[in-house]
Amino acid sequence: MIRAAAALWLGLLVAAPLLVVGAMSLGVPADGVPPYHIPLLSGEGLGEAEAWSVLTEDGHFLGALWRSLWLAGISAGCCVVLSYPMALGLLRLAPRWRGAVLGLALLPFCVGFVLRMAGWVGLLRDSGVLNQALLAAGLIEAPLPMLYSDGAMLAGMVHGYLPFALLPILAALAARDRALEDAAADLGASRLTIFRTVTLPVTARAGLAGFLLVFIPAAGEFVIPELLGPPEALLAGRAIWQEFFSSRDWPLAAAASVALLGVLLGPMLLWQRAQR
Amino acid sequence: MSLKVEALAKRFGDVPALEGVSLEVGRGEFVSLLGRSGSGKSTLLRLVAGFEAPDAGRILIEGRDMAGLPPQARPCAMMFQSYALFPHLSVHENVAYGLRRAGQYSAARVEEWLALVGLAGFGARRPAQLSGGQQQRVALARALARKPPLLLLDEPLAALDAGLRAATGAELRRLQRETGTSFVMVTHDQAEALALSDRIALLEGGRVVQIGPPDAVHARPATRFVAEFLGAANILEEAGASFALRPEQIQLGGDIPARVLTRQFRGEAWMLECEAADGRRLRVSVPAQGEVPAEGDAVALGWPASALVPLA
Repeated sequence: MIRAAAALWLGLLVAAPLLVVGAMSLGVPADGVPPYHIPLLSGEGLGEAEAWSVLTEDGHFLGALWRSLWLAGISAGCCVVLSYPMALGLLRLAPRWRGAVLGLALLPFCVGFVLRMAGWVGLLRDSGVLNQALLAAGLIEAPLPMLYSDGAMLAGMVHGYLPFALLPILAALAARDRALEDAAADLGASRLTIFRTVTLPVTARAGLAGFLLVFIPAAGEFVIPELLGPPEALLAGRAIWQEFFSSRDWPLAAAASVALLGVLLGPMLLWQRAQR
Repeated sequence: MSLKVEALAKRFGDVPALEGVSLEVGRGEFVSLLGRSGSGKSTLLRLVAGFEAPDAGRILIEGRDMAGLPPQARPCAMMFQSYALFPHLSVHENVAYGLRRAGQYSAARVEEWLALVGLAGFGARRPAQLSGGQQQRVALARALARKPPLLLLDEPLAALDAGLRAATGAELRRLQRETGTSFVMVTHDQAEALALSDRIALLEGGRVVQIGPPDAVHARPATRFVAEFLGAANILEEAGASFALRPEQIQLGGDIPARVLTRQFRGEAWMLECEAADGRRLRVSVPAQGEVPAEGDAVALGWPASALVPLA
């Protein structure tokens, strides 16, 4: 029963859309609804698979894909690096405070995603809270161009995805055997050495899981770069969005989607292995 | 003096764990801290190791006051009840851990320690690939590798199968003698403490109630608690005072009529559970070689006055 439901769910919501997108990527743009024509379905053979050759030969898409992976990697790295001290700090609190403080840390995530990003816009724009405060304090003479920068984009990404890294790392640190750290201290290891040689290695799987849980969705992210990032930063998510909705080249967009998925399969398999 | 503890006190919230404990451990001595869970014995060990700070009192190791020193800076080493072996490191690296921190690492030295605990050739394995007994020996080698003058052992045999415990205990004693290290062992097992220690300190409710060599403590328990805890002594109430009377001190053929309720064979002796005419229950040990009364038999019991040990 459960198996059948799972198979149905996977079939309807994962396999079928994937097949549609896969087929679409083999078509050519055309006027009409839908705006493409698939030679394979009309018995005209495979056709040129033009979208795929554009994708692989045009540096535009490969560059966007590379920048996306780069941004996702840095975002995931920042999330993991921030999660460790946050989680260790949380676990140092008395248990009765821990739940409340964790709740506070996660409270922003009860607010809608777009609203949170709008918050960053309000904070960082030229007439925003931060610039006004700095101007009022006389520290700067003209507003700093903080919004629409790589920094703003990264801040938004880390803010948006932090819980995906924080929660597995927190769970692993809470479940770790404290006697190991006592033993390391007893054997003469400094606190930093204990963290490097014991705490980090025994929670490495959770750290990797947290990294990948951020990396995988972050690689396809397009709302945050759109709202906070520099206009020239073309990322895979935005490139796909543009092809679908602005250029109306659905086959190219579909091919780019399939390529992004293909690239992310590696990290997904790695994440699955980290769970074992 | 390897370890000197003076009037040590420690509370956890409202709960007193130790109340004025004093103890001395000589160089190369094997002292057991024996008591039930909650007696404060593990707290004492953690205070000496530096994982907790005392509320009052002093700890001196090799004559040096340990006040304010973190575990890293204390000359003692600890062997944990769970062994606390690093699961991500090989056996070799586990033993090397302390040596590396002190800049004393050499592969040969680690191999020497592994050989000494009978694990030569096991260096490349992970702790999870070893049996419980082997893990225990890795933990021992790791704790001893830097040759600490004092080793603290928290229930070192508790995690082992009963069959392995006696042999491993003897091994522990051999290593203690060979290395000349002072051992302070926490245990709740009186047989283990009696068999391995030079002296036993009995703890009850955060206090040391008796300390002495195993045979002395066994023969002359100071309190009712010690008599009951060390096992099997009869407690007699006479003229408002309590006395301990060991089962092997009671002879058949006295002037107290009794009946045998049950009997158990203990190898070298039979243990009889008898009920005297006045209703008192007495445990009597009878050598296996002689004639042994059967269950239900009437017997007459007696003991010399010197066998009665007054209890506090």
